[in-house]
Amino acid sequence: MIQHSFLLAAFFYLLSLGGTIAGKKHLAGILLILGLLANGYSIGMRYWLTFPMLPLYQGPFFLPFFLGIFSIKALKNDQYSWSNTLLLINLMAWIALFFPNDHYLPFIQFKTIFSHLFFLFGVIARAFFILAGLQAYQCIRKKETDETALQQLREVRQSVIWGYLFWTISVFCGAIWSYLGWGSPVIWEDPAITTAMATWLYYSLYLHLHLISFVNAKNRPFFAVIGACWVIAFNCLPDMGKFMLPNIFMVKNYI
Amino acid sequence: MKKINHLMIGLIIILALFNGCKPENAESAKEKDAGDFTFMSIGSFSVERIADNWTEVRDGAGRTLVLIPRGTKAPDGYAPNQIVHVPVKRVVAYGYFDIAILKVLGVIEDVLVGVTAKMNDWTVPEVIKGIKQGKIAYLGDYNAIDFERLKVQEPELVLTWDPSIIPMLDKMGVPCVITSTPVAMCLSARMRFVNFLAPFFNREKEAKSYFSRVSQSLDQIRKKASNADHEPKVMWGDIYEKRVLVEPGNAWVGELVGLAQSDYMFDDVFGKSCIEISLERFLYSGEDADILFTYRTPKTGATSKAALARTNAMLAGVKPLKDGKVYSPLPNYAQSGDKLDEILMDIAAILHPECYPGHQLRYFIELPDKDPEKEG
Amino acid sequence: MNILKYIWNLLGNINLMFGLIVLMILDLTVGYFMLKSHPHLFHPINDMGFLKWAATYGKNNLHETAWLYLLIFFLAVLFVNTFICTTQRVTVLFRKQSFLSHKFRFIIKLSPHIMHYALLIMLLGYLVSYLSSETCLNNILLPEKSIQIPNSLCEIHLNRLHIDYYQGERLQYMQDRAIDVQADLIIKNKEKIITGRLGFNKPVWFFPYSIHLKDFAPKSKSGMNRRTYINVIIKKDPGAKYYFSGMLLFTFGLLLYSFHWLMERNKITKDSLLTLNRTEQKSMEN
Repeated sequence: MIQHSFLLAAFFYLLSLGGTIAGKKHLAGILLILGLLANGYSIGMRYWLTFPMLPLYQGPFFLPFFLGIFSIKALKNDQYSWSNTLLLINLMAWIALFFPNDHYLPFIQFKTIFSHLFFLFGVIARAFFILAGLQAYQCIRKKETDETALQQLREVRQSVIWGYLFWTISVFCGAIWSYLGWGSPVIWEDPAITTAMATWLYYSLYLHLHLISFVNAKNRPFFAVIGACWVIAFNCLPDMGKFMLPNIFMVKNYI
Repeated sequence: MKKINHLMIGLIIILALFNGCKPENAESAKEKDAGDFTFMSIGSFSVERIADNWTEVRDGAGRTLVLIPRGTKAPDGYAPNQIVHVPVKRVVAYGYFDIAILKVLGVIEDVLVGVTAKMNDWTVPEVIKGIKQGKIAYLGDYNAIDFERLKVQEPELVLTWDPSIIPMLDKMGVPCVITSTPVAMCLSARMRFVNFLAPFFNREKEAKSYFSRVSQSLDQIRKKASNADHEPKVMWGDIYEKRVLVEPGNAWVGELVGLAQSDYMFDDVFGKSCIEISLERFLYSGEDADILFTYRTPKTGATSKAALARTNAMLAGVKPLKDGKVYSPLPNYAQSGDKLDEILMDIAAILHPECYPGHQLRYFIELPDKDPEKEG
Repeated sequence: MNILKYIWNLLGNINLMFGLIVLMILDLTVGYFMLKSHPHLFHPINDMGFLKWAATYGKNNLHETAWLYLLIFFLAVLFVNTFICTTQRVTVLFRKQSFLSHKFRFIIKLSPHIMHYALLIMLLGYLVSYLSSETCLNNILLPEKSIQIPNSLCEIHLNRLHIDYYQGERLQYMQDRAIDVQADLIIKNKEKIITGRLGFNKPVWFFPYSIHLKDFAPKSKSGMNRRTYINVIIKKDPGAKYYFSGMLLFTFGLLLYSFHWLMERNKITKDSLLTLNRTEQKSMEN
């Protein structure tokens, strides 16, 4: 059920992208919402079958959902921006489908609200950072008037601030969980701790860019794009596993 | 913009430089072989030579013990249960591998005084002889140790994987070393574990010789495997009633499979030995695997593929049971840690029989399709 | 004095912060690969403390651990940079007395600096923790038995251990397996005696110690028959109050900052936006 509903979500996302490319924005919006519902069901079932614990590496299945939710507002944007957004959601969903890493069983040390907040806020933050990168990319591509460019830059900054807020709270919740469970806010075992720190530092830097003399408003979108690439490479991809063809695609099941 | 470009290039170069980082493997382990050292880390274990008469060790659970020569005063700052007088003369050991390493160090007949397996379960001649002579005592099952009997044996050291006996041993004033680790031992740690136990008996020379022997065996395996014409897909694990247990990719078996030009199906799984994973993942990997190494021995039900399939219907669906090969460890496998080089050769010969023509397996048995029919 | 002022300004330069953070990110990237490929080299920091770790694992595996030493150096410089930079700006803020008349606006303006000072408190807390905390791993408690906390007169007694085994249908993989552990402890020294219920992620505090549940047995009703015990971590961490108060203060500052940027800024009209971003506009025109 979990895998099938996620696959259904991925198909809806794909159809939504197709609808956007074909110029049927209204239909694309409906298909996106259907995809989000299926995705929501899938992640809800994941939670239902493991709560109050939490298995490792579930992030890739949650990410397209939050990315989609936060992108709905952008429906009013032009077709090009909207199809870029849907392309990214599709990429995230299909990668999660073909490279799952959810074969570990949940363990009892996850039984605390802080572990759940650490996980959920972390995924939400990643979605915002990736969205900021996408908005920044669109900013760079278009040669808009000064006012529109400033407006777009502000949207990028807003996404970064939301992402930074959630990332910081996620890191802090993780530190509290680590302290309660193991007596220290930082446990030197999981390499993800280094990339989590690096992401936090990167976006702290981003929020200071307006104070740096050699970085002007024109360059700031590039930092957001680099940040999004970093987040995908070091905060999302490590949660992925080996290539695994979903059962439904296996021909021998039908022979 | 130029500065950003320079930054990007610098980032890419640095990442490229460090992307070649490989986990510590047997090759790099060679360079760090025991010899004149002040500090040596062996997986989760470590040995630190602080002075000629003062060595500090860290066991698999992160507990610190100090080794001091007999007759010398212990340095300050250590609890009585942390102090071990070396060379140790009386040892109780739980684990087969630990006892095999005692054999490597040439001290098994002299020091081993207690075990937790009955005489009939042993294949190590020295242990059987010791039990028959009454020198080595069977102390009971791991979860029902006869502590009165243990007291009688007057051990100076207990090697165990069970931390729950520590309070009893503390009361008896017997130091204890936990030889299990929270994460599966990698190949390098498995080979060099002998260097962790050697200082307890002042047998560093024997340890070096063992390590050299196993290293040479690995070199041979690497060389022969480079001529192999195919990469078999390998699984190491089993399905029990409700649990699926496998060896993770960071375990020594996973590393060995990779080293021998084969594809270990759980090389992306990380964790402790016998890690539990989802049934779906096991079955998915089983659809492509050519070879399955099961944990079960012939004694515990692995007599044939059909017998294995009867223990769990899900297992019947994996490819090795249908048209591949299944290998079960023989009773001497677990107790032959002193012959690690031969065990590695056996595994390599299973993966690439074409590279080892005429090789006779000594530690594994290939399971037939069906149980042989009983005569009469 | 001029030299001092020069050094003060240099160390507080915002561009230095930029370079530092970039270097730290690169260093942490290297650290990611090192930690991934050699986790056993870094795990002992958790209980050994940094100084002992540096003298053993760190010193003898420099190729794999150098990044951590560098990180500490960068953090130290960042500490100084943040302190100087923030103090300079806070001084300017307080000098502009017009802000004081609009208290809420003043607090909003202060919010980034609250975050900066909170970060310094957190870093100080981590420093104190890694230099002076004591961790005692693998303290095994059997039911109805006691152990002594090392180097102290405190005794921990495990009065009762209750393990709940899952019997439901929803979590199929948990059938007959432990889903909850509750250990009733009595902790005492010459002066006081307390009782507490220890569980996973539910430590028991007995100043200056905190006791955390690390492991237990038996974990399931079936399978290997294990002796009943709990394994606890006993920790004495003087830095804990600093880094947690730093986190709390940082969160407060961040919420204020976010509120200002996300809510208040939206209300600014187009003209105000152009006015406020005059500098940015000029650079774009150029």
